[in-house]
Amino acid sequence: MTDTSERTDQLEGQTLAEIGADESIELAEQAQRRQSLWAIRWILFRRSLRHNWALFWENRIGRFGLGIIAFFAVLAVMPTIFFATGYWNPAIYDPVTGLEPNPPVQRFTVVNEITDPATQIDFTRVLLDNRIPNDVLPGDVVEIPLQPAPPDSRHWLGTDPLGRDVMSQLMHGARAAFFLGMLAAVVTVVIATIVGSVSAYFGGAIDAFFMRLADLLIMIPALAVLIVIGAIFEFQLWHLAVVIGILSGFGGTAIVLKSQALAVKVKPYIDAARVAGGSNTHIIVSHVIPNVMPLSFLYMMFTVTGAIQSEATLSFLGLLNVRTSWGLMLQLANNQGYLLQGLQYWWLLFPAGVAVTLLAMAFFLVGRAMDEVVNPRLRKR
Amino acid sequence: MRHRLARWRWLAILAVFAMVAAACQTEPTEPGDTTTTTEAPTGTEPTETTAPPTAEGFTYRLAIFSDPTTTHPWAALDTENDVWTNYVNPGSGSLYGYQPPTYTLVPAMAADDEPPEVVADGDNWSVTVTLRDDVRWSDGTPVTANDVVFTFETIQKYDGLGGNFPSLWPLAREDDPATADVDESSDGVLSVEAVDDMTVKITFNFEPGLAIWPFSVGVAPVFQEAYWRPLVDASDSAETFYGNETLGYPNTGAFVTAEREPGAFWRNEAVADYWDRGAQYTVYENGAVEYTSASGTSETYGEPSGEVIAQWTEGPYASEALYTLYTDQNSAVLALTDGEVDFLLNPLGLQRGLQQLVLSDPDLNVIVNEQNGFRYLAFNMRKFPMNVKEFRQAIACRIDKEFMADTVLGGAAIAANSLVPPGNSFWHNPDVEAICSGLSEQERFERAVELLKQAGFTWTTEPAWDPDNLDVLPQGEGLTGPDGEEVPELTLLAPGPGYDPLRATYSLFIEEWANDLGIPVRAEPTGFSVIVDEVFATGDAALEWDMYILGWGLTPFPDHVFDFFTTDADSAEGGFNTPGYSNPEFDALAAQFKQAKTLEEARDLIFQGEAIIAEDLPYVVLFTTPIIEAYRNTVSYPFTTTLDGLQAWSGVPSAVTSS
Amino acid sequence: MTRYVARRLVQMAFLFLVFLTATWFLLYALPGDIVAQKYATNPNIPPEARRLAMERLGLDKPMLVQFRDYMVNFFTLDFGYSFNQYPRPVVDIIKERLPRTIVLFLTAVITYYWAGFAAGKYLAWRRGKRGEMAITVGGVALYTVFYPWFALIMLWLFASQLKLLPLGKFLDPDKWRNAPYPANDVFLRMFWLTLITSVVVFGIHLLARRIKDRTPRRLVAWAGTVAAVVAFLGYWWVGREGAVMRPYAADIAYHLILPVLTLTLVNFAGIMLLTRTSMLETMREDFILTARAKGLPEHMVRDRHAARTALLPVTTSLVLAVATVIDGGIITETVFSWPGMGEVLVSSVTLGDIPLAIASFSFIGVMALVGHFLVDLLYGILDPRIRVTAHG
Repeated sequence: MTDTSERTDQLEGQTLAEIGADESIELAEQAQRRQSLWAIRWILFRRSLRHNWALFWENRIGRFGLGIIAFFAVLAVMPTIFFATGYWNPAIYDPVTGLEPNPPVQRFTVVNEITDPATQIDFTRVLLDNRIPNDVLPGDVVEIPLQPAPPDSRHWLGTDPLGRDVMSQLMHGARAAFFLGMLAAVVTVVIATIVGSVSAYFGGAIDAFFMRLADLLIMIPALAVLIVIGAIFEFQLWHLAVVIGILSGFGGTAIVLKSQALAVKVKPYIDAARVAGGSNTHIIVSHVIPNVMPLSFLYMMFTVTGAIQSEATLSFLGLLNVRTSWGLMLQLANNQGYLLQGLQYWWLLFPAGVAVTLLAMAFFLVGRAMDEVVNPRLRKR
Repeated sequence: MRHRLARWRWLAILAVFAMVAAACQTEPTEPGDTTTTTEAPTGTEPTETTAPPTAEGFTYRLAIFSDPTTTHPWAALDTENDVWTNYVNPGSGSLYGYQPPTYTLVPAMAADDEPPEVVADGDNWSVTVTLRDDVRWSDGTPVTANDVVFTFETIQKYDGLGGNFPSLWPLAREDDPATADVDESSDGVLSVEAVDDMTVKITFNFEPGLAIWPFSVGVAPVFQEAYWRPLVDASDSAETFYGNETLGYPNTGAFVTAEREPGAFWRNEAVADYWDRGAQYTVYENGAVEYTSASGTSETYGEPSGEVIAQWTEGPYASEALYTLYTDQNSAVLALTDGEVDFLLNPLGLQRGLQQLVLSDPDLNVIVNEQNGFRYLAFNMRKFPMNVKEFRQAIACRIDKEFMADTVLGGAAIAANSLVPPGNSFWHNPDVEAICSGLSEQERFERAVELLKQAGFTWTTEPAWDPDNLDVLPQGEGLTGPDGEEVPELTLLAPGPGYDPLRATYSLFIEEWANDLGIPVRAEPTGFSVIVDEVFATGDAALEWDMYILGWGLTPFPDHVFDFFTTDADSAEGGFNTPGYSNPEFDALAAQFKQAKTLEEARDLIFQGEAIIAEDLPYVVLFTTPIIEAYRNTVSYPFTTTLDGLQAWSGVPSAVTSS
Repeated sequence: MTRYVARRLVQMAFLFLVFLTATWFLLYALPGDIVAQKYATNPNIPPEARRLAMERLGLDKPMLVQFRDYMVNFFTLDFGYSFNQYPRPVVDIIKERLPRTIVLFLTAVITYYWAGFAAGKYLAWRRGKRGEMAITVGGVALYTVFYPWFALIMLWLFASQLKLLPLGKFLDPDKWRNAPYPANDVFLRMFWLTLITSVVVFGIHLLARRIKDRTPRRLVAWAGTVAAVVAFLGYWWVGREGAVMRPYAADIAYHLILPVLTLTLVNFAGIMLLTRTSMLETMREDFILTARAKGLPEHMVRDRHAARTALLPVTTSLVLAVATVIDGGIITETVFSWPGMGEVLVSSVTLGDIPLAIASFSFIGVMALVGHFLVDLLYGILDPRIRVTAHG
């Protein structure tokens, strides 16, 4: 009978590790006496990197994804430059406590019955609006500061309902997204590599436990789990990253990496190492894990996509305590009722929503392109 | 061959689609449907001569955002008490009730204009209430004293019930001698007896103040014996009792529950021969009410003065009220603008950003009301430095509420100073002023520094105002208390930006202002339930937190002014006094308030109590939010200005007219 | 085989126990018990009432006693009462919500699998040609779109602006006024009838495969399918109950369109890319080369040979859709006013309704484990290559 691992193995087909292993034999013969194992590995790594980069670069979809990621990376470093050069005053442009002191004003005529909402304002509303002097009467003209205000030369993407600069929030949001995605991806890869290697190498009860756990984690809705954990612990951004990393590291990614490790386990050099008296830890650390690594980078990309989307959704549901993020920008707009008014408040509707979508997509596309590099059967004929 | 087959396949699929489409257009066959959705024109102007409206009216369409969980009015007051269930359940009836739109206490089932006074009765105290003879249950039978007795006996049978019942019908309990360690005794209603068919005597085991009679027991629900008796007799526990399906239960209101489709809609039908149909109400500015019953007898509650703020003839004009569930606010607003519903029922009102959208629609009317509630900053007075009055005053002085509400929050909030909002006009104290109100930022800062110095605080670096930058430079550092104790880092808990961006932003500004003074406050946006858990913790855990920002929604009768701050209500012992405020002078006022017999006397005590709180500042009241509502011009209401908005009256189904 | 199944079952039971325990303790650690949360906002409720409420819900007992009681009850299939809707049994609530969720998501999953498979087939075949980039990027953009945002825009566009489809909800209250059936009956009837029809059609196709000749084989397959569909439609038009129920079922079907369309747009790309990968791998297999060498037309090779084999991993990934479905449900059900299991999960957790939350989670846990087990079995049965390795 089969196991998930075999299935995934077939899905993924042969992988880089196999190519690497074949190459390593001839290379090792050349360099055996002069260089240590790690040095050989480094040479191989550089060579395969160059080779794989060339393959990757041929892929238009991958280039496109990488371009988007680069764009957001630039966006993420901009505020540091703007603040350092004094181009942006933190009192105005801080993404959380910034406030536009002189927002644009709109003039309204006070009336009892509105006929033209663009230039008129209801008298009863005026009375309840403390920003307007109390002694106005119908017929008077009042000036109401706009908050949120549409884009102008000072605020390229306008201001939000609390008078803060949307562009600055977008840039800080990009920073948060990169931080979250990268941390989650690293945690995933570390866990998945270890779990995958260990369960492939030892098999038996350890394998069964991790694989059933992975079965469960794959199918448990991650969002629901995150909601529970978010309700218990006060979620900061890095907490979320670690939890996503754990869920994905013990889940699907572990299964894939285990199947990869299984393929490595049956290689002659593993037997050789065992015969030579290498300890289990030694074999796992210096033979299995390095050969599983390349594939794990591929899965990092998919984890980043998942992490960015989870953060946005949790923020949107109001379950996350972060100071700035794209999800939070949308949540505020929604909470204050600016989201679903057609295109009138487009600067609140589009920037964050499009940014989440694009960056998640970019990482996914890069992952796909890497898949084609790693998996030769998907390459062009 | 292949080609022909493929086309044939398409035809089959098209046929299926056509049939589905046809089925979609087929009107459902409704054998029992007697209602019609075309509205008959009815008189909307309340005049003396208006004929009683007929039952053949229109469908009043309302949107709700969460599924009502039960059709059982008892359960709706007990464990399943949530705002949505209470919107759609017409309730049952009570001796006295609140008069819209002013919240004046007026007779409902009771006959006396003013609630009768409690008198000493042997060891106990009792009140005797005469019932009106024209009040009818929706099945046409009259309300009698036995209904009141039955209601109380049922509550006794189920050991007081839970949820809101203990606050409406508090049960007198004796201490159980079997358990020595717990004191089970409690003050409450001892017995309810029917003196005759139309007179009921309620006995208390203590001398109740206004908060209990009439503001708890007087407005407590009364249920019809004939309908409920068999169900109660058949159920040994409240659990089984609540398990009954009770659509269409009789009540004294204008509507009865008729249909419920969980997850989709709820429908109430108008009572054809509603006893109060055609009654005339005239409500004056000061809350006084002139009432002419359907049979023509006139009554006046209070001394009418000032303008008439609302005048109408009681309906119902609608033949049914249809509540449709929209689980997302955005789709509910779209439903309103698209004409699917007439009104949105939402305790929070419309989101602020939607105001402009709604205003620009000629078919929609917007109303803005004040909310009966406030958001506040609380200090943990059990700890240094929050136990120093000048410290609290210094922070309060630094908070520029008007700047926050008008500039930072862009008018989404209204600065508030009083524990009773202005909209609750009878009880509001207009003389309560915020500390440092009207001062400029520099003056506020200087006054705050002065206050701290006054109390003996010192700095290693004293903060100073820099007139060039219009800011505090340098900021204070190394703040030390009068006893040489250094001020530790303080945490300010506030709901996160996801839950309430207004309070989250407010907390960040308070953090900044406090830091200017050298007070090391750190704002910590966190989950609502986390804050509740921490600040209502009992015992030593009550020492954990430093400051927090939360909010209260209030009842019309403002006994919270005392409940929140008396010594015996300390949250460390399970009460609601979270700051741990303790002031003998204040406690004495609270005791007097509990015994107050007239509304004027009670109001005077409330005013005095509020003045003390405004000086001592266990709470700093920060702001309140307006409640914005919108309705389609297909309906019109007898009034639109009322505290908490029209949602507080569940959308006034009994008097709404179609226009 | 039997030994393998037995071992898997024991493993699953053990893991479920671990899962249940972990869930219970996680939920128990939720801040703010429900009594405090409900009563903290009402100062008129005396502490005494709070104590009684805690007692009634059993929250006053020590944690380990509560845990033991819960476990004992759980395995006697007593899932307790909802705290928030006390004294409503948890099972009642799940029974009310489940049919809606199943009908919505089954329809959606079938639609987007079908759409994704068709698109993936096309994509694999057009490998490296024009259009591939556009379809891939477009599909992935939809796949990674920020879903709540996208769903709201869909609602606004189709329901409010174009007025083609209803504004959320699963029925029109005006059409259902005094309806003779509760909506859940109609949901269940729709579900079972569609399921039975699908199974019958599937069975007919399996039987037809045994017929050697091509013409009678197609005839049997098509005649059988048509007969099943006619019987299905006949029930709704001629059947005694079906005819009464039809307008109601049609109303639900009409309300299904928008959420299903949205879910399909967002999810099809995942299946599309999987199909593409699977097809590309299959196309390197010998039998495809043989088929080509025989001179069979391209569409024949694609649809009859490559696609069928490639379908295998795609079909088995179907079961993984359970997680997607529930994750998507949390947002979809809210935006489209379709209160189902997703909403139960979120609200029970945020309100601290522990019994309801655990019951929903364990329900999902059981589905997850059983689903995965079935996939593994199914895969072994369908793919001869694996059967060999497993026995070898």
